Amino acid sequence: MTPLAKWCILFLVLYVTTLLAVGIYNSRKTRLARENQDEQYFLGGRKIPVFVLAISFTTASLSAGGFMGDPAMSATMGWSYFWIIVTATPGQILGTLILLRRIREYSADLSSLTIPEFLGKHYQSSALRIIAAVAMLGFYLFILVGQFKGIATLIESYIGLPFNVCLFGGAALILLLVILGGINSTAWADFIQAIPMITICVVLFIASMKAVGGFSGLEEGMGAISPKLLEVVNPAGSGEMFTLSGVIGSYVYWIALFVCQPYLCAKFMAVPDASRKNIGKFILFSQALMPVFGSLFIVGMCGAVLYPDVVAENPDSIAIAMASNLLPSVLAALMMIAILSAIVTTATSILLTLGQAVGNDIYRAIKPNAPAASVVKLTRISSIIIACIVIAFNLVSTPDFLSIFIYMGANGVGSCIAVPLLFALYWKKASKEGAIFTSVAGPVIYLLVNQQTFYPLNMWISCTISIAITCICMILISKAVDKKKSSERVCA
Amino acid sequence: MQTWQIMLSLLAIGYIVGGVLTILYVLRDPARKKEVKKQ
Repeated sequence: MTPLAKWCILFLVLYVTTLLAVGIYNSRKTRLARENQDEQYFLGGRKIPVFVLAISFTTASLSAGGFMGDPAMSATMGWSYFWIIVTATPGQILGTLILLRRIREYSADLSSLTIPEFLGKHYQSSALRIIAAVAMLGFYLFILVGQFKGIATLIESYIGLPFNVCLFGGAALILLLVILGGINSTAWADFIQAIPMITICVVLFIASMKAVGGFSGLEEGMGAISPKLLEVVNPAGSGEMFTLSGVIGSYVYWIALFVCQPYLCAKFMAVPDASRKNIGKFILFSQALMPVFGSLFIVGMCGAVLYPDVVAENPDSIAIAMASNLLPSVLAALMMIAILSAIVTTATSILLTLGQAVGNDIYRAIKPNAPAASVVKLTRISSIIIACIVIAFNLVSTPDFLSIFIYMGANGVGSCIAVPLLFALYWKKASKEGAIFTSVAGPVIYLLVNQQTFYPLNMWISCTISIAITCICMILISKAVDKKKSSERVCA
Repeated sequence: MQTWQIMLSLLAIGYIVGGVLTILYVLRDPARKKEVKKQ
């Protein structure tokens, strides 16, 4: 056994033990709660500290894509791909300022524990609640399939255990964290997992920059490979991701679609109180980590200069190859834990949200007076069933492990929920009919535009167009409904 | 200016704009203004 494999096994045992200890310790609040058991399980009784929720927000938003897919894309696309980080910070700050206070206050006023429940109660429509829950089940399931496969592939490649053993082991860990204590366990586990993620980002960035000869050496090396890698904005009509329209679309994605994701909005809803001081704290802690994780984009570019063969053969493995070649065994093993943490933080948040979609959103929409204990029980059972379905998908046909799956899933849910949610928070005249129409039409329009059915467009501008069209539909339908109701009142 | 300088400058501008927005949002809190008036 190689020294790297030995360190990996040691870290893996430590990692699993720590996570289970954190999960079990924090699950006691849910276990001991006699009243509002559902609020404890879904939102931690709205008592989880802001800094824990903020860090959980950032770590959950990073998945395997952040540690493998994004460095790979940076290595092949160059500096233009860095626009994701440039647009993410102001976009997420603006999105948080727009959403956090209103979501926290309005959802508490309506005693809502999830985004579909809030939408259903606000628009007085069980149908809308079920549509949002079903869209989440459909789109997020694909993200979860990719994350489970990521865990199995990662442990298999580092330690050499069989794929299926790694798949079942990873699924068991994620499931235990979710069913033990809901958000109490997952948020604190996310917080702990930020430590290896931050450590490896900093260490790998320093080692990469040293190896490539600083930023000037990186610039020279990339220019020698291809001048395309040094483009700030890709030329219009080049078919690349970050043309000027792609940059604008990227801002819209972070402000409107990304922050509206129900598994991230759950962190907003769980904040103890929505004072502006707390919102400021949330932004400070969540955004302070962004440049640290963004450094992996630069690591990917260094990889293009240092290991062009790896990039040509399997770009997804560039960050792992760099950790193995540039760092001592102990730190290279920590890379495995960092990627594992990135996957587990996302997978736990999404699995919890999917369990809630069945237990709270679909079941409670059908049985409004269901007791809290039975909703929590059904949520736990649903989480187990969903995990089994995801394992089955991976056993029958393992999908390609691509970042694009994550963006597609997030865009699908975002285009269903973002417009009804934003209008519920900011426009009193938004109607139930408009909300139902946009929640169904949003994903359809997004898929049509993104599949380049009518005109070749990149995925960022596709988001913007689908959001713009659904906003117009919402306004027109709501105005028409309002006019019809006014004329009925006059006739009466 | 080299590409890396342009991109890192854009990142810094994003942080400054986001930071200023957040600080203004926190400082212009109506609840905080009432507290200051009471004091």
